Amino acid sequence: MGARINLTYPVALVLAALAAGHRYGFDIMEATGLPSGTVYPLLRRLEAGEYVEAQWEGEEPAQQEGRPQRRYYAITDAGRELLARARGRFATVDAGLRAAVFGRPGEVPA
Amino acid sequence: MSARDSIRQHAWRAIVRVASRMVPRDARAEWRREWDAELHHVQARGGPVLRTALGAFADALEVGVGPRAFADAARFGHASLAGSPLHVAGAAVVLATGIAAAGVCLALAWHGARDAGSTVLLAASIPLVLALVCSAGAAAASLIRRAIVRHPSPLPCTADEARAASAVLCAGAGAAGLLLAAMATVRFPDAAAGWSLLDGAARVAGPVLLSGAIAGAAVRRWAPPRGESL
Repeated sequence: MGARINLTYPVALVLAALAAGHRYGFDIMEATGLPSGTVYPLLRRLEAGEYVEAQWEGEEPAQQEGRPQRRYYAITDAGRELLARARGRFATVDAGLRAAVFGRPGEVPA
Repeated sequence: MSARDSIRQHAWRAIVRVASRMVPRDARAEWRREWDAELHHVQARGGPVLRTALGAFADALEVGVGPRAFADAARFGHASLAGSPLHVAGAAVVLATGIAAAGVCLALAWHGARDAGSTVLLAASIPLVLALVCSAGAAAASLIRRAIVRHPSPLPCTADEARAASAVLCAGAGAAGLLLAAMATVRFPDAAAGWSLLDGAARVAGPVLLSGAIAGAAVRRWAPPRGESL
């Protein structure tokens, strides 16, 4: 495994988006609602830490659609472990916030 | 493509091109290729292409500098000081003296350009300032480089860390130069008549930036390729 990464909420969001099948920067931006200035640097850090891997798509699909080739990202096993940790951590935070805001843990407004 | 789309495309391409200057040369082509592909897609989808393009600066900083640059610089600076304090202190003093001297020369020249003597001083100060700043920057870079080679850090040190350390050193020396120049304007009130400290600092900022750029260029020229251990 490469460089360590701080397990922040945006990191968890990006990993979750990748695990859900979103594969390139703008796709992840749309899925997470995070700005480009957050998503792309996070992808670099996650790639450096080997939590995601990236590869260029083949020429053929890009040519067929008349656009430049994209760089696709995919979550690795280490990334899935990190995501599982993030889900555990942010589930606790989420429960705490719900208790503070709505009075009872787990209660969500309609 | 409509004229408006064409203008937008030129704009985001220009933004990416400018931001790419912060990306290391060996990674720049691929970095631009990815951003071009992303923004092409954003524009095709009618998304906020210019706002998205501005994120290229944050990404370029991430690739070019990294989030741990200051921590690395501090770590390397500490190791360098422990290994070769005289070299590092010498580099800082040379750079600070050059910048301070340049600042004082500029202060005197700008103030008194109303008579013949000060006009001569102004004319003479321009090459003097350039020479001082260039020599200080080059000397500092050379000393840093020699210090690194002769006294290898006890901690793992890469060329990136060396660059970061030299940037921090230049910034520190520049701050010292600004302080000295500001002190000179206070110490010699006649020469500094009509000046505020802020004005003085603004006038000194040019040589500071220039010397930093020269020192950075020199280190980049002499340091081994990015990522390679010294």
